[in-house]
Amino acid sequence: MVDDDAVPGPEETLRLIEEQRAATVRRLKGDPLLFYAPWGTAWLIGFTAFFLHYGLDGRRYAPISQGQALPQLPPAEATLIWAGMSMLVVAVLYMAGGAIWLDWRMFFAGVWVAAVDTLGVLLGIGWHALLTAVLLGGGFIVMSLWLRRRG
Amino acid sequence: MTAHQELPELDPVIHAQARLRVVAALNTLGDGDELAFPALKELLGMTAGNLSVHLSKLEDAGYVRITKTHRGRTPVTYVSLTKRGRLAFEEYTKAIRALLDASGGIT
Repeated sequence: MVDDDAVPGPEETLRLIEEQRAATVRRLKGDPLLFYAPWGTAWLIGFTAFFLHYGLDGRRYAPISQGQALPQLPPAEATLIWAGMSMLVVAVLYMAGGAIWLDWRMFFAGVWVAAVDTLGVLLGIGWHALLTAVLLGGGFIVMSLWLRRRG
Repeated sequence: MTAHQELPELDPVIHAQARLRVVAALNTLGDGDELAFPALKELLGMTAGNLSVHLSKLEDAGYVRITKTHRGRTPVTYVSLTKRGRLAFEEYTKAIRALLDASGGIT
């Protein structure tokens, strides 16, 4: 690997550059698998539980007990406010991070979270939970694997 | 024939596998960011002697900046890519791509 004269062809050279870039980024900025997958897993589990609790049309699939945070509101709306606001904060932080570190993939992740969150809030708690679990939870897991493959 | 005349020349300083990897690694850092010598050595899997030789060639060409300083009593060496080095790497990858296109290789 350190032979001074062994210069590969152009295709091999580009691959070498790409491999080195990926290895360096992984080492300095951390493994994307650790960066996105834990959030994805947490959302997938948490929002699937919400979804099962509230259902899509008011019928509960598997009610779970939970604390009541905003007693003035019905539980579904209170949950939707907390969940919607939390995901909005996440979206803004990812977009800001992407802008600061000039990482368009991180910025895109923020835009994606904001879009799914907004759509979910408009559709109601059941849909919000379902979309967040699948598109954001699953999406972040897929994204982490994809980023890791690409390096 | 014309394609041959248009083929770009490859920068001989970068066009060696070891130095190419050094430059590719340093190019991922932000402008003005430095990497400590041991970290670079470990990242590239080179021996200190080997890396030093390549770094001095790159330094002679004005492509890398080597800063020797002290942290407490321990000497530390930092390596970074100069503007010129960054530009040279950009030109080099452009030339490689041009070569690939000229040879009708994969896109």
